[in-house]
Amino acid sequence: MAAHNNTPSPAQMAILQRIQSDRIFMNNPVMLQGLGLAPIVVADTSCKNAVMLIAALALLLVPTRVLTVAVLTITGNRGHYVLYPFMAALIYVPAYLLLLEIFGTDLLLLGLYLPILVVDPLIISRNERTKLESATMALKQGLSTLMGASVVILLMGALREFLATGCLFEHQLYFGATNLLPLANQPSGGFILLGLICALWRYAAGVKKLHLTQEAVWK
Amino acid sequence: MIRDLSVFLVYAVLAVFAENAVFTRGLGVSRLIRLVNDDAIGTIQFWVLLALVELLTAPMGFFVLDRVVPGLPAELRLPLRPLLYLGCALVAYLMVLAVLCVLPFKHKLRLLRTLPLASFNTNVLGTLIICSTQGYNLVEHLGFGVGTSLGYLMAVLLVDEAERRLDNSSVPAIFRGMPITLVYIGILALAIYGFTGHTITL
Repeated sequence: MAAHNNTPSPAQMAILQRIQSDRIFMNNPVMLQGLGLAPIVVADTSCKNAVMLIAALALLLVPTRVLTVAVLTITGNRGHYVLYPFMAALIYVPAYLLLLEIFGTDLLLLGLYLPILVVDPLIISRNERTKLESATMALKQGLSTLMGASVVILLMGALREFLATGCLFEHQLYFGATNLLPLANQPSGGFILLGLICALWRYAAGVKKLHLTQEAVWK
Repeated sequence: MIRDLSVFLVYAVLAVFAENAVFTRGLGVSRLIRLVNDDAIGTIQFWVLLALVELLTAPMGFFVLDRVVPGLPAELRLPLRPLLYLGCALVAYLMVLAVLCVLPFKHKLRLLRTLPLASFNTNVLGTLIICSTQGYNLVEHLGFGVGTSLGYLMAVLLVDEAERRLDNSSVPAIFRGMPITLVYIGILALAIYGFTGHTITL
């Protein structure tokens, strides 16, 4: 009797790789991996805040990953735990000045959630891995993580602004006597809303993964 | 002395309950969710290291802006804050690392692996920034730092217990895991919001 073979076929391997690399939907860094929850739950209460958070992430995430990989290549991957947050903090200095130039004092709306981005798992979670990635991979993964996180940040910001104030980008859309859910711009509302969206997101991602896996079995 | 002690206690209690880092500000919540699901990292071990780092960084964080770099131009104070506070966390990390290396500890390797996670996270940096923004003095800094780590332990234990109880068939499958944990933390956050009755300063 032939032994049962658990090795995935090339088609299944390709599907697994596709699922892993899809950081926007099937392997979203926020919804599936739970990264970057603090700024989303507390500071991401409006579209304006969402845009500022995305801009800050864009300035910090990819440069931190690529430059840290460059330094780690020189050090032989020594000090990876410490280098990621320090590189992010160094990049934060010009990034903050640029953000201040663009958004002005509105940047203060993000409070402590702007500086703590330098130690947010979205940016530095790679420091827990012992294997050094290549600079190209750091760039690709940094960009896909940024896109995945940006989708969630914008979705949550828009939803919370609409539910709490009836506005989107400060334009009144809902004219009811009372706001739909004033709690939405509180941290507790942020946790609950994110939990609900996370459940729906994971369900949809699970259905898509199942569909792709079944497709691979048939091939 | 007694006055300082009472201030220390008041700020520690404030940080444990009314200004709990996890339930009111979401600080360290990504780490918390991974911590309760990760058997490789012991909750108590992580907390002990976090508490040590918080305790050591509190006085350093208090002195670094005003005493170590007093001549810093005002426009550079805000952008340089994370770097300076990370420097404090690094010093605390090295101090704890030295103690771990010298003294004979049980589970030494595990502690050494956990130490960087406890030293460089949103909880440590967030606490220093809150204390600086609120203009706390040294005793308040220390009390808030110790209280924050105790509050984090309380949050981890509450979420850990909830995960155990919520992992059953009465919870819809799509909610199991992170979604129901987030809803649960949200309900606890709502209870604390009802207790304090005001929004915290970001």
